[in-house]
Amino acid sequence: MSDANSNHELLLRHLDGRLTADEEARVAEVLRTDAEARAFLREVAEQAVAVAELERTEKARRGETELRVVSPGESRIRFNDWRWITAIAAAVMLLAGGSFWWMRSTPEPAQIAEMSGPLQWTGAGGHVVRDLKVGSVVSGGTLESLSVESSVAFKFRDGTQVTIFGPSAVTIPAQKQKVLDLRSGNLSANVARQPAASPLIVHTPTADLTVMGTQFNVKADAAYTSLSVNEGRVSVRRLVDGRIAEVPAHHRVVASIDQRAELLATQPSPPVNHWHSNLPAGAAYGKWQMKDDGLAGCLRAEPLFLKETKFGPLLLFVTAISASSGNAPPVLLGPDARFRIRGRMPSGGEVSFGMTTHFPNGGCAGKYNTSRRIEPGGPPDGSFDLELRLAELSPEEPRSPRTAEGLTIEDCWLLTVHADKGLELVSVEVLPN
Amino acid sequence: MPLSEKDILQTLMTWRHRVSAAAWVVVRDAHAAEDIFQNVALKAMTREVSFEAEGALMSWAFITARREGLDWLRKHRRETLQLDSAIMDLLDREWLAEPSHAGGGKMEALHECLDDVPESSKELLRLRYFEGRGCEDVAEKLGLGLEAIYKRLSRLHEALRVCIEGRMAAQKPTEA
Repeated sequence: MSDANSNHELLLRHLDGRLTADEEARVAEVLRTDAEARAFLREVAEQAVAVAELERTEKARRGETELRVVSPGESRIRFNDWRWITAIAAAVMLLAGGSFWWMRSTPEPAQIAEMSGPLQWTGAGGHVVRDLKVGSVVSGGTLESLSVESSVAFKFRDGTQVTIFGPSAVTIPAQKQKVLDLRSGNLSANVARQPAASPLIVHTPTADLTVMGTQFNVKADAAYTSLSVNEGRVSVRRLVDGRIAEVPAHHRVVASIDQRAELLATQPSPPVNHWHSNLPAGAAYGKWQMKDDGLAGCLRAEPLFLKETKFGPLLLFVTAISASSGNAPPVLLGPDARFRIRGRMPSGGEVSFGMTTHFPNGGCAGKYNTSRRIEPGGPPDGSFDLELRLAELSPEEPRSPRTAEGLTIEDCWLLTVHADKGLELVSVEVLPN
Repeated sequence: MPLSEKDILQTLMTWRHRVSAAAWVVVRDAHAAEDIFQNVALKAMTREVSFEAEGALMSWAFITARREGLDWLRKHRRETLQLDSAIMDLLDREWLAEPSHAGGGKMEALHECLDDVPESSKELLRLRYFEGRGCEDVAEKLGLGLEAIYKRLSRLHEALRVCIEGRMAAQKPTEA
C-alpha cells in the first residue's frame, strides 16, 4: 500500500474515532507535515457535507419529509438559493427589533431512531401514517405503539431519546420546548441536559413530570402514574391535589387519582428472581374471567387488529400482564431463569410468548419472544402448562443484548395470530432455575 | 468601506460548503455542520463589528464555525479526539487560500460526480455521512468487514476528487 493510501485510511479511522492515542499522535504528525494528507481531509469533509445535502434534497423531492408539520415558526432557513437572503433579512430585522422570536420558537423536531412492531403516527389535520421508517420526523402529532410487541424510539437533536413500548400513545407538539403528552402506556427517556428555562415536561392523565436531564421510566393510565428515576432528578406534580414531590435517582413514586394516598418517593425494593403473576392484578391486555366451575380465573385473549404491518393486515388475540406494577420489586432474570406459563386453549395451535425488558439501571433494553405449539388432545378443559428457558427467547431488535440475562422484566404477553383459538392465560411464573 | 449585508451574505454563500466542511471536521455530523453554518451566517449578520474585507469575514467565519463545533460537542456530550488548534489553523488557511469562486463550481462538479457513482457506493456514502453511522455499523449493515469499508471509502473519496478536478478543468474557458 502506498504511503498516501495508508495515510488516507488512517485519516478515515481518525474521523471514525477508532484510533489509539499512539495512532492519533501519528495522525497529528502526518497532518502537520503532509499537505497532501490535509488536502485529503478537506476533500473528505467537503464530500461528506455535499453527500448529506444531496440526500436531504432528494428526500424532500420524494416527499419523505411529509410527516414534518411546516409552520412559520418551524420552517428552517435553507441556503439553496437566494430566497435565503429574505429569510436571513427577516431574522435580522426581528433580532434588531429586540425580538428573539425566531430563535425561541424554532422547534426541535424528533426523528424515529429505532422501531419494531406495528406503529401509527397521526400528524397535522388527522393524517394517519402507518408506514413509518427510521428517520421519519415526528413532530406536531401523536405517535402510537399499537401492540404489546411494539416499541418505537425517537430522538431529538440534543441527543434526548424517548422510547414508548407496548400499547402506548404520546403526543409530541411542534415546538422548541420538549413537551410530551403520554396519554397511556410506557415511556422510557434518556434526557440530555435541558435549559433551565425550558425543561422537558411529560404530562400524563394524573401527573406532570418536569425533567432537566436524567434517565427515567414512566408508566401511566387513566388512574395512576408510576415513575422510576434512574439518574438525575424529576419533579412530579400530582394533578388531583397539586402536591409536588422531588424524585431523586434510584427512587420511584406513584401519583394516582387517590389524594389520600401519600405522594412519597421511595427506594425500590431489591430485585427478586422469582415472580408469580397475581391476576387480575397486573392485567394489561385481555378480559378477566371468573370461573364458577372449579377452574382458575383467567385472562381471555382479546382481539387486536393491526391494519398495516410488514406482513400485511394482522389479527392477533392477545393477553398481557405487567410484571412491574405499583411498588413491586423488580424481577431480575438470571442465567438459568425459566418461565412457567399456564393457560387453556382447547383447540391447540401455535402461541407466541414475549416480554419487555429493562436494564437494571434503567432504560428499555428491548423485547424478546419465542413461539411454541400447544398440541390438541390434552386435558378436556384444554389446559396447558408450558415451560420455557430464558435462552429460548430471542431479541426482536438487533440493538438488544443477545440474551435477557441480567435484565429486568417489565411485562409479558401470550398471543395467537390470525384465529381466535379461545386462548386463556391463567398465570405466568418466573423461576430462578 | 465595510462590507454591506448583501456582500456578507453573498460571500458566505460562496464559501458555504467550505465553512460547513470545516465545522464537520470538528463535529463529524453533516446535519450539525449545516446548522453551525447557519448560526455563523446569523452571527455575521447581527454582529456589531463590521468586516472591512472578504478575507476578514471568512477568517472570522472559519474560527467561529470551529468554536461553534466545539460548543456543539460539549452540548451533545460527544467525546471525539480533536486535532490540535495549530492543525486546524493550517486547514483553515488552506481552505482560505483556494480561490473564492471555486466553491460553487466545485460543489456542482461533486454533485455531478456523485450522480455517476454506483448505487452500492452511494449507499456507503449515505450511511456514513447522511445517517452519520460509524464505520463498524456501516460494515455490519452492508455485510462487509471494517477494513473493507475503510478501503472502499478511501478509494471512493479519491475517485470523486479526480472526477471533480476533471470536471472543473473542463469547465474552465480555453486560454487563447
